[in-house]
Amino acid sequence: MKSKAHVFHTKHDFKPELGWAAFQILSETPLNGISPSNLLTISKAIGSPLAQLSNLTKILASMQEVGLIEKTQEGVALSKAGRTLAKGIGSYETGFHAAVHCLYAWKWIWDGDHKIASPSWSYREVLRQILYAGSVGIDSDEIVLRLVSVAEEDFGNVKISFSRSSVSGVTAWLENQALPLVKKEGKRIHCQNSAIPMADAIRLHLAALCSLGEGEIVLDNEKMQLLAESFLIQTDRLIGLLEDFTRDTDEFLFISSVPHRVVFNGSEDPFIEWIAKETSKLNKEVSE
Amino acid sequence: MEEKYEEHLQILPIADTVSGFGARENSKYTLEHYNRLANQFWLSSKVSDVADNVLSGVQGGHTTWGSLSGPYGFGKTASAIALWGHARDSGFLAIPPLSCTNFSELAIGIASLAGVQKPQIKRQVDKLFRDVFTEGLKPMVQADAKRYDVPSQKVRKIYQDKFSAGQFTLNSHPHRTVEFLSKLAELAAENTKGLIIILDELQQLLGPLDARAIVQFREFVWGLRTERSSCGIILALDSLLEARLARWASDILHRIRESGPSLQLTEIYTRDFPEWLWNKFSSNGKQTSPLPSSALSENVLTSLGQFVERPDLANGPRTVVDVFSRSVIHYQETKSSYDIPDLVDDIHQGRFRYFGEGAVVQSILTQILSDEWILEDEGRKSLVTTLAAFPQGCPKQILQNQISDKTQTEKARSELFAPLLVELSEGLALERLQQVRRTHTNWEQILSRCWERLPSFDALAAQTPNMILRVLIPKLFPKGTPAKPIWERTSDESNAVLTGWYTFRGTFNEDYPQREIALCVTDKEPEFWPDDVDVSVAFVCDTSTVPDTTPKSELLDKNEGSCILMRLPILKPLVDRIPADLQRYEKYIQPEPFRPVMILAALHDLEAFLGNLIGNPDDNDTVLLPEEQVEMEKGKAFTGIVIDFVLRELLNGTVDIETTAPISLRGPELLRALFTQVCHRRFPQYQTLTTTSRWQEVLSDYRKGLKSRLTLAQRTGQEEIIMPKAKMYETLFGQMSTAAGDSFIKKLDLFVETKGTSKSFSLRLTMHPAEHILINYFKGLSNYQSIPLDTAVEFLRHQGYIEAETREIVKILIARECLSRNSDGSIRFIPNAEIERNRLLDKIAEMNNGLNRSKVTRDVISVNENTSITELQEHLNQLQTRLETTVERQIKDLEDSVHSLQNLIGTVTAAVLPMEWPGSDLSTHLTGITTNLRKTQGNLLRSLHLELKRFKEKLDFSENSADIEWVITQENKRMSFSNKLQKLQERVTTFESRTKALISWHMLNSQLRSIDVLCAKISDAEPTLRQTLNQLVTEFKEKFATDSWDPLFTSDEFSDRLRSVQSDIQGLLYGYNQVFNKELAEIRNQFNSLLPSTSPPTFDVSVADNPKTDSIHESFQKLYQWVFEGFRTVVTECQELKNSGANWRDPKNKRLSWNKLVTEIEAILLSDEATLSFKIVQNIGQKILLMQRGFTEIHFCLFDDPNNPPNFEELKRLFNEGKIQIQVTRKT
Repeated sequence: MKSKAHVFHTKHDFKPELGWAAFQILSETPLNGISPSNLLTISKAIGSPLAQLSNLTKILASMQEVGLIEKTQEGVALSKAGRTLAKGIGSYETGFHAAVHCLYAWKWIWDGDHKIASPSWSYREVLRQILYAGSVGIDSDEIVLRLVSVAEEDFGNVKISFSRSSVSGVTAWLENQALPLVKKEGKRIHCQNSAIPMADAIRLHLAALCSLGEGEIVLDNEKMQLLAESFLIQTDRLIGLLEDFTRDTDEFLFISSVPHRVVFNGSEDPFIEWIAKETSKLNKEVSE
Repeated sequence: MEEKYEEHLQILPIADTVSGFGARENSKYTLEHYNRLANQFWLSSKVSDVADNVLSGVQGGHTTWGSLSGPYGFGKTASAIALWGHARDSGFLAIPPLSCTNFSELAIGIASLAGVQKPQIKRQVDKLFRDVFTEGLKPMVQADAKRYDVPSQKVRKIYQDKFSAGQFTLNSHPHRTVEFLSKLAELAAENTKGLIIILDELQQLLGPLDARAIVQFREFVWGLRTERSSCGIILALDSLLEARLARWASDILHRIRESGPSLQLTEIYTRDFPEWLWNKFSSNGKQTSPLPSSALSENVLTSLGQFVERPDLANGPRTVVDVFSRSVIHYQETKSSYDIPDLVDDIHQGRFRYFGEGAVVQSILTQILSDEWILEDEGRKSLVTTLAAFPQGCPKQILQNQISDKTQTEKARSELFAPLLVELSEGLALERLQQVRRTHTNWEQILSRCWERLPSFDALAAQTPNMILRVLIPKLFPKGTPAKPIWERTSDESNAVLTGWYTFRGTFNEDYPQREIALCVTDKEPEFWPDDVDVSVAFVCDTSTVPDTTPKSELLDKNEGSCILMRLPILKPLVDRIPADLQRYEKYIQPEPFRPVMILAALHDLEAFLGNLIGNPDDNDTVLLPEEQVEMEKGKAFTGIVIDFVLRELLNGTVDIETTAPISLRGPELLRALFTQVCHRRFPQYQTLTTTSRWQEVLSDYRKGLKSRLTLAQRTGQEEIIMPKAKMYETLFGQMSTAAGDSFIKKLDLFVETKGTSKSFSLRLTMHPAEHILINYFKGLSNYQSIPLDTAVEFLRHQGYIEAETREIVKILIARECLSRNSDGSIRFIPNAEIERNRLLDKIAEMNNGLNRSKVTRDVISVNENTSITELQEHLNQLQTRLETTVERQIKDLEDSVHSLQNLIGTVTAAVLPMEWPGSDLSTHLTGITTNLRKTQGNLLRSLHLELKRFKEKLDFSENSADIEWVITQENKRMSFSNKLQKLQERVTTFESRTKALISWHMLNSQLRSIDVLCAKISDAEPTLRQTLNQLVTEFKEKFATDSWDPLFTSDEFSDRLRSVQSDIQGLLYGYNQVFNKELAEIRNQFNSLLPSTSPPTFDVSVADNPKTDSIHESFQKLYQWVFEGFRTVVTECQELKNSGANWRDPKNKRLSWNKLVTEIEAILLSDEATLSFKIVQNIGQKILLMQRGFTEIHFCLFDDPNNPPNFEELKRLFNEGKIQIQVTRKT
C-alpha cells in the first residue's frame, strides 16, 4: 500500500476570485462531473475569469485539497461539502470565501491523520505564526522559516516544499474575508487585531469546533486557541464575542460555566450542518 | 367625603378621541366629551406659544400650520385637546381632534362640530358641506345612471347613503376637503376670529403609508397652502410617523414647517414636569376641589422626574398621570401620603398600565425580590426597593428618609455594591436599571431606524430605481483604481433625465475591452433602447410580492441582439440562505420577511453614512476612536456581505451555452456572462489585441521584427522563417534569452506560429484576424483609394476593435508593407509590392529632380535593393513634405506682399492734400506744388493697384496648382518681385514725406498772411518790421521759383523767422496799448465832468488778421474825438447859461473875459481833427474847466433861514440836470 505523501504547499494559483468562479460553474454541473476542458469551455462562454487560465489543473487540485470537489469518471464534481456549500452559505461570494477559509483552517484537524501534513496543516500554521507575531507583524520569509522548523518537529526529516508563494496562497484568502483578517504593510503581514469577526465567520468556525465534540464542545484552552487562530484574535476576547453572538442565534447555545461550553443546536444552513455533524465522521473514519 | 374625591378618579392617562362619524351622530355629546377633557388639561407654556403663533397667523388671514410631535405616551392627544380649549376660549371656531380614517370622515366630523358650536351658522355650514361633497357627486351620478340605465335619483340615494356611512371615498376627497375647509374658514372669519382644526391620529387618517396616502396627504397640505384662507391646522404627529414622512415624503413636512411653528413634546417633558403637573392638580383652578398636596410625597415626584427622562423604562407623561391617579386612590383609601414604598409596590405588583414597554422595572424588581439572600435581610430589601424608584440615582437625603437606620444601609450597600449597585452622580442606583450594556453602534441604529420607518411597498418600490443606482450599480460597475480603472461613467445626469439611460465604458470580460454600455434602472420595460452602444442593459424592478417570483434575465433580439433585460424581484420574500450578519437584524422587521427592497433601503441609508465616513478619511471632523473605527469597518463589511447577497437574489437567470445544457448563474457573474454572450453575438470575429497590460510595447517589438531583413512573404506570414531559436529571437525581437523569447512569443498570441525544436526552429509571422479584415475592406474600395485613419478606426470599431487596437493594426500592416501611409496621414493599400516599389522610385526621382531645380534641396537618397517600400514611402513623404513646406513659404511670401501692397494703397489714398491756399506772397508757389503732388498721387495709386492685381493672380493660381513647376517659377521670380515691391515702397515713402511737408506750409501760409496785414497797420509807426517781412518772403519766393521739392522741407526755418517778426509786432502793439490806457486814465482823472456818458473807444489793433481794424494813429484819434465830443457839449451848455443871463467871471484871473475864453476854445474845437494830440486835449480841457468854474463860483449861496426857505423844486430840477452842487452841513 502506497503511503500518503506530505503536501505543505498552499497553492497561490487558488485565488479567491478564481475559486469562486470555478465553484459557481461546478455547482451547476451534473453530479457525475465535468472534464476540465469542458469546464474551461464553459468558462470562456460565460466570460469567467477562469477563461484566462491555460489549464485548470492547479486550481482544481487545490479545491480538491480543501474538500470542495472530488474526482469522478467524467472529470471533477462537487463533493458533498461542496454541494452543501452551494445550497447554503456559499450561494454568495463572501460566504464562499468564509467557507474556504474555514475548510482550509480545519480540514487537517478534521481529517485526524496527524502524521501526514497537508495544505490545511500549513494554512493553520501560517495563521498561528501571524497571530503569534502580534502587533509587530511578520514577513513571508519568517513565516516560511518558522513553518519549516515546526514541520520538522512535527513530521521529522521530510521534504518540505513551502515558499513565499505558499504564504501568498494563504494570505490571499485572509485578505478576502468580508472583514479582512490581515493587512500588509510593505513586506510585513499584520493581523487586524481590532477586527471582530462577522457572524457568518463565527458560526462556521464554531460549528467546526463543535464538530470535534460531536456537536458539543468544552471551551478549554486548546479549543479556545483553535478558535482564536481561526479569527486571528486573542483568546481573552473570545468569550464576550461568543456570548454576544449566541444571544442572537438559535444555532448555538453558549453555556456559561467553568469552563464554558458551546452546544450546536442545528442549522438551516446545510453547510453549517455538514460541518458540525459530518466532519466528525471524517475524523472517525480516519481514526478507525 | 368619598364623593368629593370621585372627581379625582377621573384622571385618565389616555384622552379618548371621537370618530368623525361619531361626532356627526351625536355632536352635543362629542362636544361635552371634549369639554370635560379640556377642563382637566393644562397647557404648558411651550405648547401655548405654538397655539398663540397659529392663532395670530389665522387672525392675520393666512393659512397657518403648527405641529406637535412626540413618541407614544407623551401626551399628544391631551395637548391637542388643551389646544382646542385654548383656541375656543380665545374666540375661534375650533374643531377638537377627531379620529378619522379618511378625509371624507374628517370633513363630516368638522361640519358637525362646527354647526353645534356655532348654531347661528349651522345652516350655512350644512349647505356648504352639501355643495362641496354631495352636489360634487352629480357628474358621477349622471354617468352611472346612464351607464346602468337606472334613474339618477336612485343612484344619488345610493351614493349619499354610502357616503354618510363612510363606505364611499374618492381619490379626489382631499381636494374637496380643502375646498370645504377653505370656505368654512371664510364663514368662520365672518362670525368668529377664524377657524382652527386640530388633527390628531394622523397615522389613522393616512392609513398605511403607501403611495396613495402620501399623494392624498400632499394634495391636502399643498391645497391648503394654495387656498390661502384664514384657516389654522395643528397636527399632533407620532414621532415614528414623523420620521417616516421625513424619510419618504420630506417635502410635505417641509411645507408644514415652513408655514408655522413646530414643537417636539419631548422638550416639555423633563424631570420638572411631574412637580409642575402636581402643583396644577393639587391647586386646581379647574372645576374640582383641590386635593391636598401632601397626598403625594415629594420623593415620588423626584422619582417620576427621573422616569420621565428614561423612555426605555417608562411612558413619559402617561406614566406620571397613571401614578397620580393611583396616588389619589391611595389617599382616598388610606388618607396617607403616597410615598416611594407605595410606588415600588405598585410597580412590582403591576398596577400601572403605562410603565414602559415590556415593564422592565417590574421584571427587574421581580427578579431581585425573588432572591432569597436579598429577602432574608430587611436592610438589603429596603435598599433595593428604594433604589428601584430612582434609575438615575437616589439622592442621599431621600435614601436617609426611606431607610432611617444608617448602619443597616451602609451594610447593605457594601454587600450589594458592584454586582447589583452602581454609584452615579445623583446617588446610588441599581446596575440593572442602567442603559443596556451593549450599545448600538451608529450604523446599527441607522439600520433599525430605517426599517422602523419603512413606508408601504408601493411607496418603497417607487424609490427603488434610485436606490439601485446609488447602492448596487457602483458594485456592478466598479471604478477600479487610478492605476487600473475598470468602469467609467461617460454620460452625465442630464442625459439620464432626458433619455433614462446612463452610459459607461469598461468591460466585464477582458476579451472585450473598453465596451460602451448603456444602462437604465426603471420600473417598466424601456420603450427605447440606445443603438449607438455595444451593449444595453435594463434593470426592470418587478413589484410582484408572490413568494415564488423568480428573477428573469434575457437577451433581446433588438439592436443586433445587444439588449439585456433583467427583471429584479424587488418585493420577493427572502427566506433562505440569508447571511447570519443580516439575519440577526430580522427582529426589526418581524413578522415581515426580508425583501430586497427593504435591504436596499437599509443599504441606501448605510451607504450614505459609511460612504461619507469612509470616503473622507482625511477629514478632521470625522476622526474616529479606535473602537469606532472597528465598528465602521464592521459596518462596511456588513454592507459588503449584504450587497453580495442581495445582488444574487435580484439578478438570476440562465445562460445558454451551446455545448452543454444552459447554466444557471446569479449576481454579477450572470451580468458578466450575458455581456460576454452579447459581445460574442455582435463581434463574432473579434480577437482582442490587449492580451497583456503592456500589449502595445509587445507589438512595437513585433513591428521591429517585421522591419528586419525579411522577404515580403515572410513579413506577411506566407512563408516560415527558419533558423535556430536563439538566433531567431535575437535577430527578430532583440531577445537575448531563449526563455524570455518564449515568454515574448506567448504574449504575441495570434501574431506568430512556431514549430520545431531549438535547433530546427521555424516561425511564421501570421496576420491577426483584424489585419485580414482591414485588407479585405481596402480591396473592396474602388482603385484601392486612400482612406483617412479615422475611417479605418470606425470600420474596425464595428468589428469590435477599439481605436488603440486599430492604430496598432495599421502600424503592423504598414510594417508588413501591406499598407502605406501618405504624407497627409491617410492610408493606402499596396496591391503589388514590386509595382509599388517602382512607382515610389519614379516618384522620388521626379521629386528630387524638381527640388534640385528649384534649389530647395540637393539631398539625394541612396536607394538599393534592400530599401523597403516603407522606407521609400517615408522618403517620398519627406520630399513631399519639403515641397509642401516650400510651397507654403512661397505662398506666405506672396500673401505678405499682397498685404504690403494693400497697406501702401491705403497710405497713399489716405493722404489729403490742401484744396486751396489763402492769398499770400507764397500761395501761388504752394498751389503749384500741390498740383504736382496730386498728379504723383494718382500715378502712384495706379502702379500699386496694378502690382496688387498681379500678386493676387499668382496667389489664386497657387491654391490649386502649386506643384513643383510653380515652385521653380516662383523661386526664379522671387528677386524681381522683391525689387519691384521695394521701389514702390520707396515711392510711397517719398510721396508721404512731401505731403507731410506741404501740409506743414498750410498753417505757415495763413500766419504769413496775418502778419503781413499787421505790418501794414503799424508801418506808419514802425516801418522796419515791414521791411524785415518783405525780405523773408522774397528770399523764399526765390527758393520756390528755382526748386519745387527741397524748399518744402524748409518750413521750420521759415516758421522760426516768421515767428520772430510776429514777436516784434506784438511787443510794439503792447507798448502802444499801454500809452493808450494811460492817456485815457489821465483824461478821466482831469476832466471827468466834461466827458460824454458813452463808453470810451478801445485800442483795437490786436486782431491782426482783420484788415478792418484801426491803425495805431486812428485808435488814438478816436479817443481824442470822443473827449472832444464831451467838451463841445459842456461848452454849448455854458454858452446857453451865459446867454440866459448867468454871470461868469474868471475864477483865477479876473482879467480874462468870457469872449476871449470862448474864442480860444472854439478855435481849438473847430480845428482839423486829424491833428489832435494828448497835449491839445489837456490844454482845451483846462480852458473848458475854467469856463465852467466861472459860473459855479457865482451861484454859490447859503440857505440857513428857516423863515425864508429856497425854492426846493427848482433846486431839485437843477440838481437832477447836474447843473448845481448841494452841500449840507450841521448848523452850529
